[in-house]
Amino acid sequence: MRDAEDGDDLEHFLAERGSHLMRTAVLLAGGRQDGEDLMQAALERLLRQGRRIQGNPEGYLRRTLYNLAADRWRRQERWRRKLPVLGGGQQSAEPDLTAAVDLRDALIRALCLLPPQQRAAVVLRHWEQLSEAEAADVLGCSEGTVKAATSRGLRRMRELAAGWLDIDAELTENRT
Amino acid sequence: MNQDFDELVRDSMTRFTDGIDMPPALVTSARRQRHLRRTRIAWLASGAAVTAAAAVTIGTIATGTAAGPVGPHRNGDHGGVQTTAMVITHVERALAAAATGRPITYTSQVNHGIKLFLVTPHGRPVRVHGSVMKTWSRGPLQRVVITAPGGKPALSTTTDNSSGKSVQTIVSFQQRVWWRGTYDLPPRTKPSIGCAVGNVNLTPSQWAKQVRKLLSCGAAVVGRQRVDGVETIRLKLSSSYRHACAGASGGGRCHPQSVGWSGILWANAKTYLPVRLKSHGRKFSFQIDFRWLAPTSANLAELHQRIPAGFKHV
Repeated sequence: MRDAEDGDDLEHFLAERGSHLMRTAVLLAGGRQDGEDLMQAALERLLRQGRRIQGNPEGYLRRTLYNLAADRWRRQERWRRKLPVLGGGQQSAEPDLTAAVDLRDALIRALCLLPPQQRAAVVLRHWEQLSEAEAADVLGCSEGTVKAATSRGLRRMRELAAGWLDIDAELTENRT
Repeated sequence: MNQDFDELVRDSMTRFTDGIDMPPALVTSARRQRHLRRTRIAWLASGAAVTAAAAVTIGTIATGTAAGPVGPHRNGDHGGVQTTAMVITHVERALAAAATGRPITYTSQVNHGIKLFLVTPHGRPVRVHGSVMKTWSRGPLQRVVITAPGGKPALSTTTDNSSGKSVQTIVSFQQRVWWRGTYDLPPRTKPSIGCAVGNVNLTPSQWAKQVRKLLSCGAAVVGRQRVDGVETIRLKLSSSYRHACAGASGGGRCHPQSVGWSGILWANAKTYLPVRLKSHGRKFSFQIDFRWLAPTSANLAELHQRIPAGFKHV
């Protein structure tokens, strides 16, 4: 296929699915700016692979997003303790309790504190609404691993959010 | 309760991402980034490295086409008749000969409008505040010292690739800390050496290649001048190259465009080795002083960073 046609196909695909994938990237990265960086890096890989990708590129793009996000988390974790000494420390994901934090904010902050696999599993299952089998395919692991990672991730989010807020009271309030 | 919590998580994510759409320029940026990645050196050395990125359009450039004929310009200054072609030949030979003697190459680079970053193998680049970058290099050993505006050293990185791994020692003078890490050597990448200095993050030997390339792209002897007590031949460098993505910042496609570059090179009138290279754009400038040092014990010591007493290992 010629490059111009490849470009048109990509434009069409992104017009249809781009925003959804962009939102996934934002959730994985924990912020809009980082999400755009992540999406751009994934698109760059997609462009690099070009014609080698058969069929719909969504699967490839989604898998690349998760892999790049996981790489980024690991790198950040290793250097997190080094960066402050250079004065370039990254923003902590700890909630600013001086600000008014509602439950949903707290849950997103808790999501950002999860280890890579748990965060990916929660986003895949609860945001992308993939089945355990589909999520396992994206993450390259077994269904059992997805199930365990999702369960642990949700439990951890609950614990973290509960430390900042009276979560049961909030849930009750949300129901009423 | 779990069902409620699951729904709340989903709702949180939906609200968090509500209204977020794919920025129209993202695909263009990805295309441009892909192109740039092909043509730049991402790392000065393996692992941690000090790199520089201009705040403006010094970024990365595609290999350009040679422009500006190297004609037989006559040097009408005192010091005899020397054609540009002759001087260029002498400078090229001097650079090649200097490399065979395995000297310690030293550069002192003063930048304005160019941001320096510490590129780490496991994290985002960290801005280093300093405008002077001194580099000593010999074979697999390299030391880079960034000096703060007040003249004191701010950061030193030492790289030793002699063991097949890259051993990095970083000393932060401002924070009084140091650390060392061993990393796999990255795949060898050739720097993009074109008819303009698109990357000021070059090792001294890469600078030598860059100077040779600049001379081949367009140079003319314009006189003689004393630089730091050294008699030099002054060469005006000028070239044009095709910038692949000039004017594409608005989100449109890349439009190849011819862009000019100019600078001044001072070459030692006796040895013909480069003494200084200077260039400036609208918002940035850099000046690099070159020295080829004999491998004496004192000079060899400059390749290693002594950890100052009292500095904390982190």
